[in-house]
Formats: sequence, structure tokens, C-alpha cells
Amino acid sequence: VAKFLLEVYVAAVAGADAEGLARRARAGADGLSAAGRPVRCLQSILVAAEETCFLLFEAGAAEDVREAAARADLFGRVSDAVTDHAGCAAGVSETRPSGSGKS
Amino acid sequence: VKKPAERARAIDRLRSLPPLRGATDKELGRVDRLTYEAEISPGGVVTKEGESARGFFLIVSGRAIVTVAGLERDALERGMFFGETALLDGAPEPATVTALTPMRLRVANRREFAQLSQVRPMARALLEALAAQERRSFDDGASRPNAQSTEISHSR
Repeated sequence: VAKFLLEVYVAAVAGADAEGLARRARAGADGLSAAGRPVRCLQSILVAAEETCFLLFEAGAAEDVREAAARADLFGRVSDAVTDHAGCAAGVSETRPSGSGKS
Repeated sequence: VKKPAERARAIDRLRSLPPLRGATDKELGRVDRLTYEAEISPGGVVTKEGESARGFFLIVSGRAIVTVAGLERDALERGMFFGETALLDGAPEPATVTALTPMRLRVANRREFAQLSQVRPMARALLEALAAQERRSFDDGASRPNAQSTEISHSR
């Protein structure tokens, strides 16, 4: 299982709704999973200034993400992605003491 | 990131499209990088009249029908493009575009479209489409189109 990033264009005038897009993406992923191609939508990040909603997926192949997106009526560029939550968390933990001013 | 062979195939497909005829390899490479490929099944709705812009779409293969207020207005085929009107004027999509056959599209968002419109052959195709749109509006006896135009434009 690998991770993929779906970049969906969201026109500024549309009134950005990251949760709504994520709901649709999850529904598309669930539908495809039910058909035997497991796909999970893990996270959504809306960057309004860029008119883009980034949706992080876990899937067997990029094609599965494209299919899940199509089922959700979403267009977007799909790219391979690498995430490192543990590394970020460790970084926060290490910097917090010096940044908190409470040492 | 595309592999060289994959990129070469993509560029060859782009080279054969009417709006990109005469483009250099460098220009085609730029179009390839600025757009991504999407496949649409028959019956799939690409843009919806009254909704916000969904992007710029260049038809690589397949056919679509354009409807306005439920009435068929036009047919779109390989080499034509749509979606630029709402990207340019920020108003809602002026028409609904529905796939009649399996379609392969090249898609760009607003920022990518702005850069795409600077690629020489694409710029000319867009200008020709806008000119055709203006001529149609005159032929229809309508007033000169402005930023609020609701006509959809396309090019062969």
C-alpha cells in the first residue's frame, strides 16, 4: 500500500469546503473499496490562496486514486507521496522546551 | 515525475492535436508539465452550468455535448477545448459539458492555464476561439461580448 496526493482545483468563488471535498473523496474511496480495490482518504488540506485542496490517499496504485476521485466527481492531479508524521511529531517535541520559555 | 519514454509518448500525443500543431518540443514539454491527463466515462459531466470553474480542458480524444439550460448547443471533439471562459472571467460555468464517448482530457487549473496561455501555439488557439466567439455573438445580433460573456468558446 502506498500513499498518493490528489490536488483538486477549487475556484476561489466556490467558497472552499475542505470537509465537503473530503466527504466526497471518502465516499468515492469507500465505493471503490467495496468493489475490491481498497482505497482510503486519510486527510485533506485546503490552501485557499492556491485554490487547491490536497487530499492524501492510501491505495494500491495511483489508478485506484484516480478511479476513487472519478466516483466522487473530482478532477485532480495524482502524485506519489511520502509522509512522515512521526518525524514531524518528534521535531515538535524536541523544539517545544526551548520555544516555550518555561524551562 | 514521468519517465523519459512516458514523457515522449505524452508529447507525441499532444503534438498531433490541432491547437498545438507547429509547437516545438520545448513548448510541448511545457504543456505536458502544466497539464495532467484525466479520463472520463460516457455520461460523465465535466463542467456544470452555473457552478464555479473546474479548470481548463483540452480534448485529447473522445466527444462531448454542450448544453445550456438543458438545450443542446454544440458538440466538442478531439483538439477542442473548454472551461477557459469561467477561468478568465471568474463567473460561473456558462454551459454543461457531458462526455458522449470515453474521453481523454488534458486539464489545467487557473494558475496553470495562465502559464499555458503563454505557450505560443496555445495562445493563438485561444485568441482564435475568442474571435470566433465574438463573431458568433455578432452574427446572433447580440451586443459585443464583455467580461460577463456567457458564451462557451472552443477551437478545432
